[in-house]
Amino acid sequence: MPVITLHINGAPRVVDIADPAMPLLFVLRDVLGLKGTKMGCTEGICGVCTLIVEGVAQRACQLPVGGLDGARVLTIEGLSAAGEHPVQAALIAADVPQCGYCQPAQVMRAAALLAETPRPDRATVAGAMAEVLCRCGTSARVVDAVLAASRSATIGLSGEARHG
Amino acid sequence: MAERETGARRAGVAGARISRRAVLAGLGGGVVAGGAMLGLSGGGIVLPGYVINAFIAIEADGSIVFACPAVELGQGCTTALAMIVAEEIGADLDRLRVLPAPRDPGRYGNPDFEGHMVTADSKTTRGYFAPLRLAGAQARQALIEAAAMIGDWRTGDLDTVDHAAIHRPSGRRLDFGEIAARTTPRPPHLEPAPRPRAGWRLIGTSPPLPDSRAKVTGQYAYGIDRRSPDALVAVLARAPHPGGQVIEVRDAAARAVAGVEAVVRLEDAVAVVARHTWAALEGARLLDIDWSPAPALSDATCAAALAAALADPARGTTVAAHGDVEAGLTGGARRFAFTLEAPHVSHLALEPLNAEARGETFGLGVAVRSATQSPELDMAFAARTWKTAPFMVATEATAPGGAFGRRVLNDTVRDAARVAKALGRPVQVVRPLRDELRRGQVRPAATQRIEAATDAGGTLTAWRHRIASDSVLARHIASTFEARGRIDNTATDGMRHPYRVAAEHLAWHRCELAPEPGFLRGVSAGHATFAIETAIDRIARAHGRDPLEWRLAHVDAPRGRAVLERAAVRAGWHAGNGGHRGLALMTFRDSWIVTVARLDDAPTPRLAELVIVADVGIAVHPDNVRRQIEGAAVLGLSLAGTERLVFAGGRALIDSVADYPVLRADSLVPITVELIGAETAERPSGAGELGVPTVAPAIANALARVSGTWPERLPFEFALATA
Repeated sequence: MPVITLHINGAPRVVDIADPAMPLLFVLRDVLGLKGTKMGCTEGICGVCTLIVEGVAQRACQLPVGGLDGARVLTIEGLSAAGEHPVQAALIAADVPQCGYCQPAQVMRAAALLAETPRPDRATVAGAMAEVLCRCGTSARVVDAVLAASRSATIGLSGEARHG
Repeated sequence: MAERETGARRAGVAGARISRRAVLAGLGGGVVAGGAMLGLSGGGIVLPGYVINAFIAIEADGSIVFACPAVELGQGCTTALAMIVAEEIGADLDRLRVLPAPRDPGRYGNPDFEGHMVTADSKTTRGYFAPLRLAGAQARQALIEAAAMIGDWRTGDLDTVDHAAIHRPSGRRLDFGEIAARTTPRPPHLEPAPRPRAGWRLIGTSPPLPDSRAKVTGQYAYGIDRRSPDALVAVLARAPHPGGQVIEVRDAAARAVAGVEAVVRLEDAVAVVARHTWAALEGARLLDIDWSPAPALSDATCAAALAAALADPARGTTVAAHGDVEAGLTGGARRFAFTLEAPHVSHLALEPLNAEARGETFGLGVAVRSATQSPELDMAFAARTWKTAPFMVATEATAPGGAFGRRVLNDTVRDAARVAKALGRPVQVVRPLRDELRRGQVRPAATQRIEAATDAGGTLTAWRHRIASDSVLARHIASTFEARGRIDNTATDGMRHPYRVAAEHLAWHRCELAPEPGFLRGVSAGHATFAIETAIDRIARAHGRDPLEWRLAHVDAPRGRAVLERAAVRAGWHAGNGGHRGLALMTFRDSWIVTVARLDDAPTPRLAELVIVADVGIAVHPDNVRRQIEGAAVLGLSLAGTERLVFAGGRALIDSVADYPVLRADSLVPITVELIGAETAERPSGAGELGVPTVAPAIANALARVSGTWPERLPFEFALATA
């Protein structure tokens, strides 16, 4: 049984997982109780489990935990204390969420984008956000919110960097 | 304090004795002032605080408690309904707490939904508007009567505003908190009228939605997040084809997966039950199952069956008719006939369907928690499966991650009850998205025929519209199907067009097909409107008439004319400023909508913009109505351009969720939504589905401006001028 250390939201978490193929998604949700990362298609297509590993937006359903020993993982729970990240603030200000299920993933995808590309153009934002499906039809408003956030202050991934 | 609570309860219980009959006569069939007060009685209702009626209690600190009869799906209905209540009471929204109403259709059923507690069909705000105004008015009157006692005032001199009673002559103000601290608000002596519209301060404004922060921080809990600590999780392996039964199962590999606790064989599925989701998924993948053979099912067999049903007059049920349509069709100056086809499409709600079931009361009863649109229908699934009575079934609705009609007939409740019962342990069933796409509910495919005749000037003189499709109601809710005269309104919605015509016949031809029919946002209007609105455009163009002008010449309804006229202005219909435009008009759920699609001037014109003008009556929360219409239009765009399930070899060709392409953030065009008509409306009308159906015909009509030909099949190809 492999024992794996994950640095989740800045804090080390040691997990003992029988199956190293278990995706990070289920380690977070079912083992560690971090349910902000949502389960979608589990095929890497819908993107609603998007989070940030080593500074890069990734789909948690496609990351076998066995390959993540020592990895720095940032989840929606660690991005901000209570929704202060500029992307979150912009989504709240415009009341963008409808059902809200994809919204944590939208936030994480956007946060990764803005950390890398602080002033993206609309097409770049739309391209990145296309990786996270929304069936309520909020995508245009998500793109607007990300652009609005990009015009605000510095946007780093503080949750990950705190103890990184 | 204790005495006061007792007093309030006593008042409530006293009301209960006379409430029951009145509830059925009142809320079930539309509330009228006068006797309706009894219909809103709170007798026996478990609400915290002083119970005023079934919907409203006042807590000791003056907060209002609102028992919300509908499920929040992300459409914002709890906010809209709370606003209606707060408006009447004169309450502050942030001192109003929303609790889910108990599953008690006799008290909480939607008057527009035959008294059922189902959050669907764009019926929530419009159905509950009148009863909730009365309920709120009673609470206002209760507070006024309590304040009058405290201040020794005449009730007629009192009003409520900003969470306080105001004594107009003296200008004195008593906060609801002070009223509740000093006396016991009781159900009022007088039956109050709803607040006159001139006094509205909240309805028609757009206060912030309460859950946005929780949603963007991952704190908002959905059904799948709420598995009980002692519950196992199950994933069912089902046949890839409809109707597949388990012949033989080899489950050694599945049982060997770490975390798998049990394998449960059902007639039509094998459930792998595990301590965590991954083990259940892996176990289900590793099952080796022999299934009964697949049916003869393909796109071709469906098309042939639909065509045969459509061609057989004996299979048609008349939906509406007037005049002599045969004579009209043969006697016109010109005659038109169009055939249109729409495929099976799916919801692809992103939160996997899920339900948790646990045996209770020594196994006699069952408790169900599920991401659902209807605890009442969940109860029906559970009671039938558990073989118990409705009162032995406890239900709890969680927030769903996307509903779109899919969670009305929430069949994972049945699955969860089956597995929990077989195992004798609480189980949450999670259905993978791929399985739902392959085997789940679809908006049934439809083939339609429209025949029409016009006079020499192009005026419509005869209209015959037939739809062949499967039936959700006949398959799943047979009693409702029978009660509605064997017409499935969810297969005929959208047929009733707004155009004046001397003779008309609308008919629906039921055609049973293997894929399981379900409700999808917009239901049959999603294809009926495509047929009608492209047909209208073709008729107008054939006579050399402007499609907007033709429609205005055929629409009498003032609200219909108003949306057309406003959309023309808003979309620059007459401006001729480049770009090709197509429009579509629809009336649906008592609302009106026009969508104008504009193409750009590229060599191969691309869709550049959608302009929508809608009249939803009173828009309680206009920003949210616009969000709903815009989101629905995005679905409409996706359905127009890409979505379809392909069937071949007995099954849907879905080996991955990627096999059902849908529209994403990089394939959107600007969508603007303008609302009109609220000022003169008397009530809200439907808004949740309204944006879906007009998108496809508007685009089709715009494309035809360039090509001269109209697509006759959904989905159809067009390019997007994305941002």
